[in-house]
Amino acid sequence: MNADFCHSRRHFLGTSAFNLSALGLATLLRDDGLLAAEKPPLAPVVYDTLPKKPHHEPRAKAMISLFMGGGPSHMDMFDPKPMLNKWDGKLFPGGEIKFDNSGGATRTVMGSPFKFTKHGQSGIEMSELVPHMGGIADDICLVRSMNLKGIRNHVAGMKAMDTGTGLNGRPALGSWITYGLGSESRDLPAFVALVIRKNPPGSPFWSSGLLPSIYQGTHVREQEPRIMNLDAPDYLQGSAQERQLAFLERVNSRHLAQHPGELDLQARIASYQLAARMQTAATDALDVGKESEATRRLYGADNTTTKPLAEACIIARRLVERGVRFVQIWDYSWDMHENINEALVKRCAASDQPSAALVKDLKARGMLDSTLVFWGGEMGRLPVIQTRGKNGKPGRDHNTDGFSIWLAGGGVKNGHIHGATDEWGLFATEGVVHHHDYLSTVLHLFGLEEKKLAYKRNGRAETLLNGQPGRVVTELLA
Amino acid sequence: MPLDLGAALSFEKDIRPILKAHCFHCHGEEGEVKGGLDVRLKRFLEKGGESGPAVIAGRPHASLLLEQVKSGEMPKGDKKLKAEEIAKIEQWIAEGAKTLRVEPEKIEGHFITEEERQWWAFQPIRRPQVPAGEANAVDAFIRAKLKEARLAPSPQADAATLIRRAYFDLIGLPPTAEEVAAFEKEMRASPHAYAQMIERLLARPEYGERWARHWLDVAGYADSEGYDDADAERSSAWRYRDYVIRALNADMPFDRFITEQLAGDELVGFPKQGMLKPDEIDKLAATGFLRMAPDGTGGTKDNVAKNAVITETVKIVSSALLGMTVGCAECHDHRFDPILQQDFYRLRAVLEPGLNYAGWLEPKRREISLRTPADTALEAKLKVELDAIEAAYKEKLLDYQAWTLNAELEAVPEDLREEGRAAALKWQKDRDKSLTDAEKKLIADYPFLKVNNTEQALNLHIQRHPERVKEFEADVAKHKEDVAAVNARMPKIGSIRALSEMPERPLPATRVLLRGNLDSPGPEVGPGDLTVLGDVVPVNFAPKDKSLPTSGRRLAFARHLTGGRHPLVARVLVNRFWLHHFGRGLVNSAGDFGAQGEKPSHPELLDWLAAEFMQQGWSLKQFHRLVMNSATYQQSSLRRADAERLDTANVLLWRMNIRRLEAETIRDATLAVTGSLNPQRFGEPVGVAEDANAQVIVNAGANGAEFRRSIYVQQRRSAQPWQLAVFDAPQMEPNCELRNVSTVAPQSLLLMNSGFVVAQSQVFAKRVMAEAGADPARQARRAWELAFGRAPSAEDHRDATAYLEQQAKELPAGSDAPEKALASLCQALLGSNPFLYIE
Repeated sequence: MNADFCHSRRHFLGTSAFNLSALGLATLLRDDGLLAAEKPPLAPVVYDTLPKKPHHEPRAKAMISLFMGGGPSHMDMFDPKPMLNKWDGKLFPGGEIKFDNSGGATRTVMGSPFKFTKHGQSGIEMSELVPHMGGIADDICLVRSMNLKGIRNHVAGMKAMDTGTGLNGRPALGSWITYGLGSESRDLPAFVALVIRKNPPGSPFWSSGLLPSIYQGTHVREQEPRIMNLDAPDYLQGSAQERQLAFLERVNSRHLAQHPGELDLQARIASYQLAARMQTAATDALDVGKESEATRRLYGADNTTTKPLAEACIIARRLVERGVRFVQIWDYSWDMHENINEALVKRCAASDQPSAALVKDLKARGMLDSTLVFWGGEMGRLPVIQTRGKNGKPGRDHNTDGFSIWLAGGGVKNGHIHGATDEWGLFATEGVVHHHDYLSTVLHLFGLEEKKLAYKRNGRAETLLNGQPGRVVTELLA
Repeated sequence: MPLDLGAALSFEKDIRPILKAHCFHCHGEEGEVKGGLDVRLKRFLEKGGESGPAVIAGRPHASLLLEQVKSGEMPKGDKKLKAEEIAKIEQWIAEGAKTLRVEPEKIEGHFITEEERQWWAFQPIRRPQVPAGEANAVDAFIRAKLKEARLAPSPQADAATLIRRAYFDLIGLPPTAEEVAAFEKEMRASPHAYAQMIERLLARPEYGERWARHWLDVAGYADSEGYDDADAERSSAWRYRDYVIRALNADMPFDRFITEQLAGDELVGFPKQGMLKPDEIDKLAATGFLRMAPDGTGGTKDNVAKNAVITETVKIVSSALLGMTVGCAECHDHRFDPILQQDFYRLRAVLEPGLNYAGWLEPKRREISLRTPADTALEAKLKVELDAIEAAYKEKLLDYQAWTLNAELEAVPEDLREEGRAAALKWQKDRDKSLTDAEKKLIADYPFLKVNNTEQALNLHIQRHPERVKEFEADVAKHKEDVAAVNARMPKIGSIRALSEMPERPLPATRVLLRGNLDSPGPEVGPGDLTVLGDVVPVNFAPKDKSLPTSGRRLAFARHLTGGRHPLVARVLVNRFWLHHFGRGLVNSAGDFGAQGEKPSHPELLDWLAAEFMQQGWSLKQFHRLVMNSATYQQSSLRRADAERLDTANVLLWRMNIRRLEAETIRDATLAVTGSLNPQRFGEPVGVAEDANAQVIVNAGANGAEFRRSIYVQQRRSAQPWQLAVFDAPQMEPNCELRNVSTVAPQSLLLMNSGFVVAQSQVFAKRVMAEAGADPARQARRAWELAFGRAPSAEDHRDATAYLEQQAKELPAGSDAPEKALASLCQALLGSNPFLYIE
């Protein structure tokens, strides 16, 4: 598709953390035509995470995605529907409702007990569940018209939002972006996945799929040690480990010289270099304790309810500050088939303040313009009651036909509402944004064109959407 | 998009698959005809729906179908059509909307087209002619394709590479340096050396441990229940693991291996607990295969959890043996393959008498006890011995009681002693009941007169009388020992986590669940295989085999699968075996032989291997011999520029692939090289635990059990040892058909800094010092030989020696600096590419 673009990533593996190996030098010289090749060179493609030029001028340089898996209820948080309260307890008068879980499904309308008010100069209506988000209303672009084109369940939905299809084996958005743009940080992974609470079903969502594995996300845990095995062993403190790794790299390089073009052998060498640099860089980047008391309080890191997401958000900001391209926080705790009104209060109490603080903090540090923030999940919820579970308190089933997410910074409009659902919150009806459109738009903000961001495999150019139609939603762009 | 304009497009071949994937759901399937339009036949498209004809042959731009898909108006549901698909529809209409044959008037029930039936994987396995010119059939097929592509095969790899490759492939452990050296000599001396080496490996007990791991991946083996956060342990799942290891070591024919796993209980007849013969125990352990799915029915009684177990088991069985994504048909007809929704439920009906809602056995109750009559007799005999010991001991305690009372009375004023004795004896008989008020007062004044006859009570009294303390304590200890000695002889009665169908029960009705919903049961279906296979092999089973007390469904299914005519089973198996030898299957998508998977690179070879496998009595070891003795397998893995240009991905196998060791193999090989490997086989797994850094590790300090091979490490779904997880050991949700191979920094961090690797490097260093002494040059050579099975090149040796000397000099001064330097060298070798990759 775009031979030049592929060609441009033929670099040596980045200057080595230690010594430029003999092999590396030879390869460089040969590539530059300075060294006569004794046998025909294989001209292997070398993949790396050095910074690359985008296709056009980018608006975003980094992204922090707060992926709220399970399906935050849009009609209780972001998308007021007075009709629901009017019809509360009555049978839904409209057409077919697609239930994902028929267990306990009803057609009885459920109103929202949560009061909506207008926020900021933009007057965006949000509910009392998310007062802090209300406080950043003028900084966000609220999309009320998401739709997954018929994909219904969690795993397929999260994969759709993250990889463009509900199927297995496709690269994550973070992998595509780091493949396209590399990383500004040589000392940290280009793509980091921070998981709080439990892994979402269908994990890992940070797999590079068919892309080379150096574009895979690095998993950071909720508790210490956030990255396993980060400290050098006692017997190799100081420069001893550097000498050891330099020796190891010489062994690996001589081995690679016998197998030129083996991508996995190259990737292993690169992964040791990165690991060595991460030992110092990641320890620092992941240390929430280095933040001021005021910052910790801003995020709610001082409060047990908000602490998990607060620390994740602080770390995300610290990583992006250090040049990491893509940070995705996974909080799979929004699936509320029963007792939704109590569960939402708890979940929002844990999430509202840290999420809003991230946007405020990025703004205060002048990072918001170049950092795209995503907040949302793979679905919203239905306007009707689902009764499941012992206590019989109502919940809501999945809705992928209409739901809300918000974006901030990184070149999107602020204080803006895009699209709408019908009066029940059931279907996105105005300005519908499909997952394909969302993904195309994110790539566009990074200066990448979806069709040009191709990876050649077995003679076929693979792209994120692979021919599925996706539109850059220009209405969202500032 | 340019299209192949050679042949006219047809509805069946070109158009229907597009409509099936995108449109059938609302226009034809399950009686759903939105807008009155059914698109399953060209005839229906021409007839059209409420808006008139959808297709007018020859007039694409007057055809509603084209207009709708072009405008994006349709399909409403999932993704839109691709441009090339729309272009195809347009071309097809323009060409006159051709069909290959006359279409039926109407569709009765479900309809599978001729084209779908003709999919390669559903065709009978015929044994193709072997191309001429090669002694080994594998070579004949591979080289014929290479010749077509004008590619030359690669030369044989050197002896050291060959033996290392063969060792890892067959036993999952590296050869020792001595074995490599001996083999190099044999290769020079004898043309049979290589084949003999393969034979030796096939006979090793480690062979079964290696190949069981592959099978346990597809079976979804786990030592815990999963399903919810509790992830309860499965205490006896390991008997299934041991069954698999033993079966593979014995080269049990795969037809029998499969039959026992699907229907071992039916082979045994309803097992008579307490009377099981060893052979019956094996067959019941085999059914552990059907107990591997995540199972939440120990924690919750609802049908949702039971349904999940059955559904996941159907998925495991079908992906392991049929290689098709049957699970996709749980809620609707498969979008891409001719797998009907009812096929999923026909397979479910095979299992459902054994996994029956009625009489459901939650995990704890499904254990079948391994008690034998001899166990019961021995228990009775030992019980008698125990009773005798207890009786004698009781006597002894009564003696102590009498003596103690006398001793205690010494502390009572003399004039009260007789009264005191009378009161104390009464108290011994019935406590306060018959005491007079005066006696009560006396006992209250002298409470130590309450001498009970229990061991504990007497102990407290006797401590006040030093003269008999020693004697008493000795008696207590002796009693404890006597009891323990008898108990130690009690039979240890294990149990099996088996699937054993209850006999003579009314068979459960299996109903299609509409849209997969438990609450929407549809029509009832009987047991059967995929409908599309009906041309090749009968897909319905006789309802009941009268000779069996059980339904006989699983046994009939197993015989159907292994009868030699099933088009999928043998192909799926040999493809997976091939994958484990070459790092890539002949069908690259080992778990999906359908339209979404990849087609075979060498279809004739695949069929020949499948036919040969069955003809050789379904023998896996015979398969290894055939493949590993081929020149194709023995090729060098080096890349060649000429071939690289034509076949970068090495699909045609002009060289051997370089493969990374799997998670378990890295750990096992490390233990083998350092000399720590504990060869103890079989039995309960060694547990896992979190270390001080919250890293899940193989339980340290388990008396050396922590150094057993990884297949004996507990497979807890929620607590996978990090050193295995980070190298892509699978999460069983519910099983794994193809492992991921990643290369990420956390792996490097593990090899650089983890407690396991550091400790093993130090053990390795001690071994090197013991074998090579203190000289750095000799140490470097020996470490290299042990890690890689071969001597270092001059450059490698120079570099390693210089590294050792420099590191020892620079490390903090101390007598242990040279040992630390050596350990750091050992660690580097264990984390290096020559160690982690098979060439």
